Amino acid sequence: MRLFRLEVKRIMKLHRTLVLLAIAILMSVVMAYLPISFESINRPGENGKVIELDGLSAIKFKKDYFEKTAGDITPQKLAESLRIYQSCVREYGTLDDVPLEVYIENIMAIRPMLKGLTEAFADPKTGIGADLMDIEPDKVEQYFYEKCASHLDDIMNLEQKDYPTARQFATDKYAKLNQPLCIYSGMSRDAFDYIELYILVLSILCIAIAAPVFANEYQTGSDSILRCTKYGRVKLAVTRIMAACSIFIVIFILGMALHLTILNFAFGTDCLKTSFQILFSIISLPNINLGQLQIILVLAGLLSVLATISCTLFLSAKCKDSLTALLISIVILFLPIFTYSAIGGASWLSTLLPSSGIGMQNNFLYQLGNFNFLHIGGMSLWTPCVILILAAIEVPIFLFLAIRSYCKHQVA
Amino acid sequence: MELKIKHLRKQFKDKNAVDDVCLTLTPGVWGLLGANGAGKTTLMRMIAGNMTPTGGVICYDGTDIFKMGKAYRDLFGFLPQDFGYSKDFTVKDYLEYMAALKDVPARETTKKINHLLDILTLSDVKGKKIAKLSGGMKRRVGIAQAMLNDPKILVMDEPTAGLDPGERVRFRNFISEFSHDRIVLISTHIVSDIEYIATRNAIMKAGKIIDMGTTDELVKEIEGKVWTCTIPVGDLVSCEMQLRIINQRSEDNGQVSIRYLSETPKIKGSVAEPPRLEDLYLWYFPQGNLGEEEN
Repeated sequence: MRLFRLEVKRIMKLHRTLVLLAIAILMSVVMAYLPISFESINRPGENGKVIELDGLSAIKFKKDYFEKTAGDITPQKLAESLRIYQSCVREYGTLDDVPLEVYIENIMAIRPMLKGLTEAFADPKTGIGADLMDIEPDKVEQYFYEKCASHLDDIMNLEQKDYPTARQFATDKYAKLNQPLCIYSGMSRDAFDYIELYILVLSILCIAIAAPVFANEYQTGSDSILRCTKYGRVKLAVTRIMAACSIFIVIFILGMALHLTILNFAFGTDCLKTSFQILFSIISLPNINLGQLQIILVLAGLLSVLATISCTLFLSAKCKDSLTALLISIVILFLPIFTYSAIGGASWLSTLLPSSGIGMQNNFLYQLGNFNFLHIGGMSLWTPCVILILAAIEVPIFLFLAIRSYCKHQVA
Repeated sequence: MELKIKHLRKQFKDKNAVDDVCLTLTPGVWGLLGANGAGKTTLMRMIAGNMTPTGGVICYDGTDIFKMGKAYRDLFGFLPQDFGYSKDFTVKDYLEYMAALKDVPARETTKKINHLLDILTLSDVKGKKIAKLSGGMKRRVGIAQAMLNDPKILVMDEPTAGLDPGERVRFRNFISEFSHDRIVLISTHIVSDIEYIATRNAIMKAGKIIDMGTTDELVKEIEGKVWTCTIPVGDLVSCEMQLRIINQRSEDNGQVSIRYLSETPKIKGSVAEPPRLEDLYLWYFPQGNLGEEEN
């Protein structure tokens, strides 16, 4: 414990750590502010002038405005909303011709609810979304949720034609979805994208702290003194790893807590009751609301960051200098992003890497919303599960390898 | 208590850095002399357990040090040639950290650190970052860390590099006192640092121990081979070409007094001088044949 305390003190006293910690906190605030600043809405003001609201005032306006439509999305409520939409559009010709006052009065409040309809009633052969004007409200009232399930089957048949186990998994998982779905005004999709982006930023910062943990000692030659002390081998390596990981966990939790507090303060907490499917796709598989999604993203992000950091610590124990360890770690961090983009979807290569859940299109949030499966033998594995399982396996493996590499390192 | 080195070898690709070294270190100060590239640092790294030998064993009281593991490291203190440290450490933080690594009990740590800082005249800078200290002070911090656990075996590679003459004298006295019932192995180029305190010396050349003994025993080998004489300044260049001059001092009237090594007197009027350890060093390692680069 004494050595652990001194090791934490040592790392925390490093100028580099303090700078990176300050950046982590600053970025937490900046990246929470950005999705808030993106919020905007137009509404008619006095004398027929259009008033544009931005940021917090736009969020407040939307919250008040959408309050009347908030709650469960029952088929009856949906059908009624569709009828209102269709009659309004029919009256003016097209949606673009609807005057702003009329749009705000009648349509805007029901638009988020109707979004799922175009998906649920999409063409079964092509998956192309239906036009709201072509959907019959009676059918919505009769079997909206059945239509969602059948649309999922259509999509799975298109995307996972040769993998019945993947199709079965999706059908079973979707069957467990709590119905009816819920909708509450507030949280934007941008906010969730920025949570993932912030996790990427935190990963880069943690890598920058982790890369010199062992390599810097090799570089300065101080390991030749450390490793011939009583506790200078396994115990030092274990303590260093524990201290570094503890610091990363604290930085991660602090950063995320601040980030989410700002977001939830701005967007409100009511919207956290909204179903995942409302913000993403009506046929997405996770049976969670946005509040649960935040928690899952934080935990999955932490696991992915720890796996990435463990890999960096291993590289630090293996490389002779910090810069090499840092550069290789950064390449490994970004590799899933590039391979995902290059291959155009999930692959074993992009998912096997410790940082597979961190990034842009490959990130854990997008994997939760997508239908990416990896196949091994007759089994089909949903990528979010693969990412979490592999990260959980990789953490102890990389840490063990880091300890072993440090202990086996020969002074040059 | 003894540290026995048996047929120790270390090979780097096609070069034998340490070649079949056999040495039994007993309590006292041991001087390890040799030119750059002689293999001293490699030998010390193996004794420190930081480098695995290609062949041979090092035994502490009959047990292989690599099998002893932390029990051996508990008895050991080491100052390598290049004293590395984390640049954000203050002297006090660094020594506290090293004390924890050496399992010095927490309640004794402060007392121990203050004692060493006092002896090594570092008390005034204990709150300063090591990176901001002078070369000599850094070296003394290195010496302090090596001694924190009262090691039974203390190995120091060039400990006096960067110390001023006063600090070197204090260091010598301190080591001399410290070495009772302990094995202290010191490698240095500054022969005078160990001449008066070394119980025994070992001389390394091309990876081998070529000579060993007390300072008196060793210098006896070149008795009658150290000469002094006075020559005109004008003859100095030609003498330098022919003789192994180890010292020269300008005298009055255009004369220069030289000290040189030779089996027989080469200049008329040469007088035999009592040899010193430095003479022996230069006898074994003549200038211009300083060996290859250190590994």
